[in-house]
Amino acid sequence: MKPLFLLASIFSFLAFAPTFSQEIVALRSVPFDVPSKKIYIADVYDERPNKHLGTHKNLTGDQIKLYLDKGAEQAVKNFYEISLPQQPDKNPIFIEIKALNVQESKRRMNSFIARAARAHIELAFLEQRGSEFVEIFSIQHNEDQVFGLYDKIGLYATHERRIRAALEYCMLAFLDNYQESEPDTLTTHFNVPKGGYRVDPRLGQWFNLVTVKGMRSTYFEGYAISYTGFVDNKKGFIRPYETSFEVTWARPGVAADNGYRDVESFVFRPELYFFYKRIVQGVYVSLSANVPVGYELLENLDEGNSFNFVIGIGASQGLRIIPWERRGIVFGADFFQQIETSKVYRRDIGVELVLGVNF
Amino acid sequence: MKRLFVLSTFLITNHLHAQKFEKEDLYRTWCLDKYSDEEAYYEPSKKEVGDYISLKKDMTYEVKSEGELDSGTWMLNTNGNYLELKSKGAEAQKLYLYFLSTQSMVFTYDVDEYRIWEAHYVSCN
Repeated sequence: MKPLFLLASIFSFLAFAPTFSQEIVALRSVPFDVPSKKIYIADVYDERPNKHLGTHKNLTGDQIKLYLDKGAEQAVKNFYEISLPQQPDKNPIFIEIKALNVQESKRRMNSFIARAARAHIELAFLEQRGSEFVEIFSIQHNEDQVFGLYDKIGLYATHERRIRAALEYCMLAFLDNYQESEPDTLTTHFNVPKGGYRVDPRLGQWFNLVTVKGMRSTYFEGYAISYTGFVDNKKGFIRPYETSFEVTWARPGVAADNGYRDVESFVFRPELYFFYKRIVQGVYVSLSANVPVGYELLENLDEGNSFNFVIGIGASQGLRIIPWERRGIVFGADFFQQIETSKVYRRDIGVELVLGVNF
Repeated sequence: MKRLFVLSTFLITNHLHAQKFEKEDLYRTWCLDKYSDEEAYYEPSKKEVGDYISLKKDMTYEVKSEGELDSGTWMLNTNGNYLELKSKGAEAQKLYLYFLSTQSMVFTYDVDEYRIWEAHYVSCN
């Protein structure tokens, strides 16, 4: 029994312990055009509690931590040195890295899903006055880019470029606001916005929901299977992507009342409008207007079947509860109303109970 | 289906472009010539005839888009291969550069509605 227990312990340790290996990102040395060359970067201090760029799945699917080659302090200093070489007549500037990471998520793009990438950075620029360091400028910045859903390689390969772009952006913004810059090089492009350069530090988390709906309406009952994908957002409306397929059949007596032995209906439901609104974490209300489209299979009382093309317009109001953010179960309920070209009804109202998983 | 294919591949080629863009090549007035996707070239619509972007050395710009004039400031991000255009009261607009010479500029808008098309501009001068 003991060896079995030991084996089980080892297995559970291997299965659940987060084992991350490292991958190194080396910044390419690409100089950028600097309008004012009155400064150089004397030193860079990495103030981040975690010194990596984030935990990612690499292209082989392994969970890894990304690090900058030579460490962030040296990498950032070297990168700026190419465009702002150290010279004795220039002013030394010190930089504190408050945040620097790269992120990946997905989001809805038009009626499809796209991949979203972000390099997030927060820098403080300081001057030495006597023995003190004085902060003279600070900036938060995101370099966001959108990729096709199947372009995971393109996204992963360009994290490095977005870090460089973010570093360049912050330096240009600093120089444009630096009092010692030559006046004729200044523009209004980087005028500090009210409240400073503030951005949302995290890309919203992407939720995948696969759900089964049990449906019951005045005339029909059945089930539907749906895939829903959405990016979480505390404020505002969320626009999920959803595709679903429904199979329903006429409730007892309904088919006979309309002169059929049985009626089955197969319907897709492309949406016109579809919103989620987050109430509290893990609880969303949903609103949708959609176009049910499909066909009915009608079994006649005498021999033979016939088909009927159905199209209509529908609406639904519902609630989704997602107790576990990363992986877990989803449940909820919807009320729906629809008008269709069915052989059995014109107007129908009903309720759906939803159960599924999120991952 | 064709749209789906274009969408799924629309940026695969983006990171393959290694051209380093020179700011000096941008200082001119660029006239809208055509649009393209992976399959074909498209003429601008009637509303867009005469559209241009004028990028000035003092880092201001003037743009005529669908016949309407707008102006603001611009910057080039060499490492990110993009231009950022800011006009008063509007959100900054990002244009990802694909190709630049003294005669021709090709970019995509960082806006979902237009992301799959490349805009081709030629020097008006």
